[in-house]
Amino acid sequence: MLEFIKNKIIKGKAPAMFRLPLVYSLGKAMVRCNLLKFPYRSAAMTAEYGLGQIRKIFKGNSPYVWVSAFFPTELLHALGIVSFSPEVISALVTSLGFQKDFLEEAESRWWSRDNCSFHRCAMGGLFLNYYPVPAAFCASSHLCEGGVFMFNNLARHYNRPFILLDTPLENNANALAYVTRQLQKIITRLEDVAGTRLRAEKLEEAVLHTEKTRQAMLKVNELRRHPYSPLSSRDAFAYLYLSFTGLGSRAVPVIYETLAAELERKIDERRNSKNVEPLPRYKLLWLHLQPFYQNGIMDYFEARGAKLVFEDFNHVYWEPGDIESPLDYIAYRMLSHFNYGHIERRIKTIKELARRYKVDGVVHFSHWGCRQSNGSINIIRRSLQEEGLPFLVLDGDCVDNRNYASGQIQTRIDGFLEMLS
Amino acid sequence: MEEHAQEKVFWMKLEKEENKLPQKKEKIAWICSYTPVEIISACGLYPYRFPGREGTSFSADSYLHSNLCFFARCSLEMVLKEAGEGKGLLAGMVLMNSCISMLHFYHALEKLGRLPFVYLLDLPRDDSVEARDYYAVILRGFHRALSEYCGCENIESELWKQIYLYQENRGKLQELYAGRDGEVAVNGDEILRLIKAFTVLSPEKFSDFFKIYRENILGKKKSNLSGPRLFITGGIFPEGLGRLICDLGGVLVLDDLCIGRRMLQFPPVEDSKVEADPYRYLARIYLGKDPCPRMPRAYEKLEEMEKMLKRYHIDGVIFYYPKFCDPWYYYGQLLKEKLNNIPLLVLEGENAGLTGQMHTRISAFLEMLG
Repeated sequence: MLEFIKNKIIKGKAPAMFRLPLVYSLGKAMVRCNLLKFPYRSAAMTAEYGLGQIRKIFKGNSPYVWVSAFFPTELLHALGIVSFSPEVISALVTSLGFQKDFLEEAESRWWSRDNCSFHRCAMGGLFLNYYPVPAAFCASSHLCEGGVFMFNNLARHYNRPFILLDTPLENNANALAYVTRQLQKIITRLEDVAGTRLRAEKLEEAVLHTEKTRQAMLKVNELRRHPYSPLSSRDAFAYLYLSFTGLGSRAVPVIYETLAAELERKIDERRNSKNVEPLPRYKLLWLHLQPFYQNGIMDYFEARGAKLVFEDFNHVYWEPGDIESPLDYIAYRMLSHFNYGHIERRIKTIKELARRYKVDGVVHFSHWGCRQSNGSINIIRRSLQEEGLPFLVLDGDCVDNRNYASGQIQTRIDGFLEMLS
Repeated sequence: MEEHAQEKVFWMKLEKEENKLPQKKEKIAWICSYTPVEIISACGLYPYRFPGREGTSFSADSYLHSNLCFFARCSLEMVLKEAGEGKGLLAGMVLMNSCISMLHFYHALEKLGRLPFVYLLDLPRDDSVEARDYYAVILRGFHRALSEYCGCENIESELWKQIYLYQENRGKLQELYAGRDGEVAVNGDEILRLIKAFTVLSPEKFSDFFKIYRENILGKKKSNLSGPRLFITGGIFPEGLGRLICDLGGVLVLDDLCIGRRMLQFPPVEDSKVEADPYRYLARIYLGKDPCPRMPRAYEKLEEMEKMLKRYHIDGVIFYYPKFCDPWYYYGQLLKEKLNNIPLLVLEGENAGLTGQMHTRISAFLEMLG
């Protein structure tokens, strides 16, 4: 069905078509009527949620902003502002196979191919009028520095406000105070965007949803430890959208609760099945994102008996906070990110996840433009090797398939799995 | 003729003095112009601007990924090389969290453990009150850590003394930029050379040299320079690029460089408003200084850029960016977009020094400007 839509309806049509709210209403209806197939009901709910958000953007009734990964979206949900993640939309565009035109548009405007292709793809779409110009660009300096620069650049280009949350490296009292004070200022600026005042109870509610999401994600992650858990990284990446833009939304904890229930049921079914399914020969931990164009990396692993049992991006990195002090809760969450700050934080988390999921090895997909993720990869490799944990780095690009060398990647996978055996 | 000889002697002496410094063991290297050198000096150590190393980074590449900027990788290479040769000439290094490459460079240095003291300062991205409050605490912690490392007392009065000394020297250098909207007698390359000296010499020593420069050289410059009037901006320049531009006939009127005018442009000091706390004071002046593209405020400058360049009668702009440097990529893209009426030459570099291609492109650009 998806291929039919892609080839017969979408491809070659003008941006105007993508901007029709009706398209997304139709998409939602198709998901609901099971015309678009998903491996999990919760995945269909995620798609419905996403399509609903995009529909709101194109309908134009709600204020809408661009958010970089890890911006505190609780503030936006509390104010009724719709958020749009360029990373997520680029992944979607790429999975549909439309990224080429978008990337070329950005490159024609002097955006280098050494920059992150998620960003180039998103910008290209904006320049080509596939998305409306947002009311503001909201970035957090968490992890992704390129996103901060891109948003500031686009804000100047389109003469829109640039709202930045400057995230300190350490997680201590000084840093918490700094983030909390910034959040207060950001709220004032977002109130201007929303044209309404933030009601305290709305923010408390949004933070409560985040806390519920945290608990539901923990439940899912615990179930994924089970040998019969069917959820591999390939399917789990679909839920990343929720943690990028959905924290603070009422819908998101429900989706994760549904996923937990589905996993529980499927694990039971497999456990009680008379046809005993073989367990994977190797269990692997996936770090960073995956390529979103047609690639076959995951198939290749699976065909060789390796299962990617978990991915660091779905790790719940923050402890329960005081939901009665919403800004403190958000600030604490922001500063707790395992991938941010000192490299030891990231290494410690990888080691913990490796132990928790009893993996035989770790795979890092090195997205070419991501300096944050790749910069210290060799330091990580050395640390994991000291623990006797095999580590494979696959160099490539999540969006720009011109940087993807399938033969080379397959050779590296073969070599790695051979070493594990 | 005599003036020319005097000038030559001055630059030779300055270079000799600079070359003495690498032999001093109390050097604390720094890279970013946001580094609070006053604190290093107040601890009785030499703040020394790390030059990096032009060329390859074979050893460093086993620690840092190949999509990080060459400057960070080559700097690590230099540390590894010196440590490998048993020179151990640095007492330590202070890095700023001013870009992602510097952060990874810090991780590598810390992991390697080749330097006795390595410190990372978390630099906020704006100059708001809350950012200053945050940064003042960071600076205090840095002073404490450095004092403990070198076994000296953390004396605030000494820090104030250094603050004033550096302030005075910055003021002297800033004077050289005055009146450059008219005819120019000193080529920008000469000013950049003096700023480089400011980044490696002790403030007292620099003050002595500057006095000689002002009396014996600057005061005697008469002839006005002719040639296309240029503005240069961008990331860490290859050694000698400024000289090359001038040798090819360009007049460097103005710059917006880290180790250039930007490290002098601090907010004005009003005695009555000076904070009692030196860390708050340092936080205010460093966060309030002319921003680099890592700071969102830098983009505001772009709106007025063309107007400013017109005021200085600039004929052309040279923009240099190091490959893989995100802050300059994104800034440069917008710079290109905002400059509509002034020719722009874009140079990309890989920290490999001056290349023949650069020479050719600059020559052609100057020829075009006439």
